[in-house]
Amino acid sequence: MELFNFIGIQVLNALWLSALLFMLAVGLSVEFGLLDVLNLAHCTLYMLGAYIGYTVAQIAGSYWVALVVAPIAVTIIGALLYWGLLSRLRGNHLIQALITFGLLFVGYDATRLIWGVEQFRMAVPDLLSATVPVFDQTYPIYRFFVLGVGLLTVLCLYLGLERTRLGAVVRAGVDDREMAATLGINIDRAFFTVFCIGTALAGIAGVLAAPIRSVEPGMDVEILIPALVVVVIGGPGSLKGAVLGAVLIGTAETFGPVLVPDFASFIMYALMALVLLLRPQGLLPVKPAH
Amino acid sequence: MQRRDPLALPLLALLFGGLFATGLYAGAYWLTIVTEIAIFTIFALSVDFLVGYAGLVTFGHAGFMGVGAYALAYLSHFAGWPVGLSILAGIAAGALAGILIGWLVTRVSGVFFIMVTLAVSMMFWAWASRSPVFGRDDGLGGMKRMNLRAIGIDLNDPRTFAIVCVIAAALIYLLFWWLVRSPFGQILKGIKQNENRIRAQGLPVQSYKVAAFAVASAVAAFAGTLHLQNTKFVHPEVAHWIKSGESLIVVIVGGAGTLVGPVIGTFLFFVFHRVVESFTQNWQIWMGLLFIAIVLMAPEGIYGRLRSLTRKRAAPSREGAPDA
Repeated sequence: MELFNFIGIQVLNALWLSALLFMLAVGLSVEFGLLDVLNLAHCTLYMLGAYIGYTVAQIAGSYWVALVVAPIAVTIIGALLYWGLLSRLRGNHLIQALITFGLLFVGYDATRLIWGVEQFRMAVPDLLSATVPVFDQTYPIYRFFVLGVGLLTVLCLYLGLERTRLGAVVRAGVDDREMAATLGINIDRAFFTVFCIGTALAGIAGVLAAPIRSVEPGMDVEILIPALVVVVIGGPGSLKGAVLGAVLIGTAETFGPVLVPDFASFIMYALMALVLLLRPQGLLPVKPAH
Repeated sequence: MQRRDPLALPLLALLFGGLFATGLYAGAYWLTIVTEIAIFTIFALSVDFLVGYAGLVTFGHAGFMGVGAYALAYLSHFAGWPVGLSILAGIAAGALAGILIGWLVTRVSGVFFIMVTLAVSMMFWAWASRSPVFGRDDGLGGMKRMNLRAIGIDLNDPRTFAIVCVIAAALIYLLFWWLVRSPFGQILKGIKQNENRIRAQGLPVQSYKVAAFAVASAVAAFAGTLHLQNTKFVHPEVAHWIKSGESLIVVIVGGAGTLVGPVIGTFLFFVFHRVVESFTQNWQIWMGLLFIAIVLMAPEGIYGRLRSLTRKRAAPSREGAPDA
């Protein structure tokens, strides 16, 4: 029974972490799979979401205001970045990787300049500050909330992709960009919208993470690699892949430190290397391998 | 057909001569910088050999620096081997790891190559930062430098050590200078330009890539052993992907595919770091912005741009010289 409870708690931990990873990775994945942009600075936007969310919550005194304002602010920053920089570099992965790598440094120091080097932790909103008894323990409701937002995002993205016009354009674009453009579809506008959605999700993920993980400079690089691993494992541009990858990495990152503490982060990299070498298109690729 | 670079020799003389002279006469503060520049130059040259000549864009080359450093630390500190022999073994370990990992990673290309090299190097980092023997992510101090007192060289003297590192960097430069001009280097350039053409000529493309990877890994491991000799402290940071990224920065800023470029890039990177650091704590934001500006405005790098400027001027006098 004790073992069962222990596993139950770990499963819950794995699930909310997976939800957070998904929210981040799905943006990265779609940028990479659809827009052909390798954006290492995606997680800088997540960090900005956490910081801006923290500040807004301080000023407005409400978590919910932060959850709305911060993603909007992050989306504006992301849109400027896309319009000014990333859209001009499409197709050249090395230059993209390098430029966005440079942006990591800029983002790191910009946050240090604005917010200093202290660690912050956002207050959990009153509505969600309670705990519930599960598996013989008390578990914060807030983490269920994170999980819920993650699941809602999966559902919305799935419906959006399958049922809306934008979703159809996106699917067409992933499948064959030139053909879609030839058919008179405004691919660029659709891409821009998709980029903004991905960025907004990164901002939301930042606010969601702020009460759980400490808000500090460098929190972006810390989660960048797991998010990249999710994208690679699932298959770039694949929604199902991002879900599968997030669950796998969330599980590995939760159970790893408990079961094999010395190999925990090793597992993630080994998984990524294995997938890249054996199935470079990812586990659930958008296009079937020819 | 080799191009003649009228700029290369004067620039190299200036850079290496400057490092050497600074090593001879400068005070303790600049000595540490000269040492760091010399060691990182070796690492950057190995990265440029892969990125600029073999067309293998690695985002994980620091992993091999880690292999060299950790092999040296283990053999000299725990196994009781003489330091000199351990350095050689560290280089051999780098070469061996390079063959093994090169054989795996050269199966993918493009952005997947970037990712898989990143993953593999971070596997090493993850192991090193959890290894109880090497002090996990605190690192482990108390390493010894090589004892060359028998031939009258005291490496524990910072000045002597700095000069030895500068000489090592110059030798590695010569090694790559010779290598890229050798038939091996020419074939690598051919693979970078058009892999299928080389394959159609019946040459084993993957073996050449693995060989290039192994050479670059051995040199990176050598840089790692020198790094450990310098700091006398083994720390997982040496293998972190940020280090790999920094090496790409100096290569691209200096000019990939030119051996002079990484030397310029490393020099500027460290000097810029120290100068800006003395004004403001936030040196990274300026470095990042400058780097982005250079990549956008001169993707061929500082030396690449300089060279094309001088060549344009020289072009009319060299009638119809093919640019190849």
